Amino acid sequence: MTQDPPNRQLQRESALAFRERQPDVEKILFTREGDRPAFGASWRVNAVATVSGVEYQVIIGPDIGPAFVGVGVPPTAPTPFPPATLTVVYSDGSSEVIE
Amino acid sequence: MTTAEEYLDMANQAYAVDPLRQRPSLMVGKMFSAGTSPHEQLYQVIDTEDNPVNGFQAMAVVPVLNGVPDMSQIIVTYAGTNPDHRADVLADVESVVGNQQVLGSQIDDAQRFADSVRRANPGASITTSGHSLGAFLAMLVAAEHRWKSTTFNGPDPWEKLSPEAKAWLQSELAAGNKPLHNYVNEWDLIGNLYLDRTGAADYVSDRPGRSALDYHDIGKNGAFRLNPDGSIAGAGAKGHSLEDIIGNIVDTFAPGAGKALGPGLTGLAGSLRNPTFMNGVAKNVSGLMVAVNTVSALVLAASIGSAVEPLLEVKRANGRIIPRMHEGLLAAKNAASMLPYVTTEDIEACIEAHRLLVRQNVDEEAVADVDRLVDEHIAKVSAISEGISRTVLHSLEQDAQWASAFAGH
Repeated sequence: MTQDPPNRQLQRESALAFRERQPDVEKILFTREGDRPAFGASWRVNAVATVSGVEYQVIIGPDIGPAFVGVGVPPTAPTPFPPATLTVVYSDGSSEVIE
Repeated sequence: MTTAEEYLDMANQAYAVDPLRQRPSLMVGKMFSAGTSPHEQLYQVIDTEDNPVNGFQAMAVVPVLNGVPDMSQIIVTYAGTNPDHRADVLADVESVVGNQQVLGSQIDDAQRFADSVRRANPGASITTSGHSLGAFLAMLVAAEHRWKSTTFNGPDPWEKLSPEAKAWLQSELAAGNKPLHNYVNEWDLIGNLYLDRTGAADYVSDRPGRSALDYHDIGKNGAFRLNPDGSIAGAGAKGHSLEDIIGNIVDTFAPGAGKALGPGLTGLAGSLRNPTFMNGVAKNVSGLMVAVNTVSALVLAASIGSAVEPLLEVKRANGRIIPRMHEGLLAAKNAASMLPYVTTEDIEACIEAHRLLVRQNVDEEAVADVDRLVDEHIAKVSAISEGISRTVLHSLEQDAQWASAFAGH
């Protein structure tokens, strides 16, 4: 069977996938390690995404659209949106700034 | 119009209802995005169901149009198999309720949830979706309610449909309609578990040699590729026999083993499709997991069995030693006989003087010992491989019995 990459790598891919849909996201904090919830289901993870200073609870994954499981949905980013800096805090406590 | 990609994403999102895996989980009032631009659509959850005992999970969603939930079109989506829950169910049955308890099956839960959504939203157009076991439930519920469904890699539910639902499906199919649309990766074991008697299957082409999970996975690099318009790429393929599908999975681990295990795979395919096992799948989650475990075990058997081939090569090489030495000596004698001044007696004398006879240069007993040793290894390897295959089939029968007992039948 194909093995999934390590969770940290999948969290990073999830953050980048979310940024593609929401380019104005400023920070993503992963609150769980993430996994496949069932046989054949896509890998996903809980996180808190900060958009325009507002925090949104989300479930995201490298190949699944975001589910907004807290209060509200972030407004669509203005287009075109200039490249922004994204701070990613992984569930293992490490962090990274992605330009 | 809802695209296949949106249905696929909804089937994938249904797994986020599980509060044990996602915290917070996808609950009533929450939203998610399905499809990709320019066919991206926001959906809102209007109802959910989570039965932690049998692993059943489902949600009902509506599209959000111009910021407002459109309650006129509802999609009921069922989640598939969660391997964790099987252990939970087994633990409950064995240690808590014994054999007395008859727990609510996933089919009952699925029907109840759909009825609840229908009653709460009279007049709404309802369709269903799901993946794997979720697809099985979605097709079954849709047929019983005369709804449409769009599902992914679901085993065909024909055997569990009521006579009325079967009659309706047959009349729809005769009229050229296809109310149930089940996209099935041509190499997926689960989606191809049963014959396409509902007419729902739309086989999707893929390349052989990938892992069993890839053919079943609904993720980006999984079973289904998407066209830019949100349709499924490669749909309309021919499909394969179950034996070929299992053979492909086995070949992934041990090339050529699928062919070698041909009779075993035919037996396995027959067992998977027997009515008792089918009943097990229909009544709870265990059947699908058995299918997955079965393939894993067969792969192990095939891997071990494939060791026979190199052993046979050793034996073939060993068997060629003495004939080749004889051939070499004969060739040398023939070459020497061409010389005009050398007689046959000279050659024989030379061979004798230099001890060049084959029997003088090879330990025939040692060669025979190698043969015996290889034969023993082949016998052991075959016995292990066959033993695993037998155990797999036996487990299958046991599990089918357990599934029937568990379901109260």
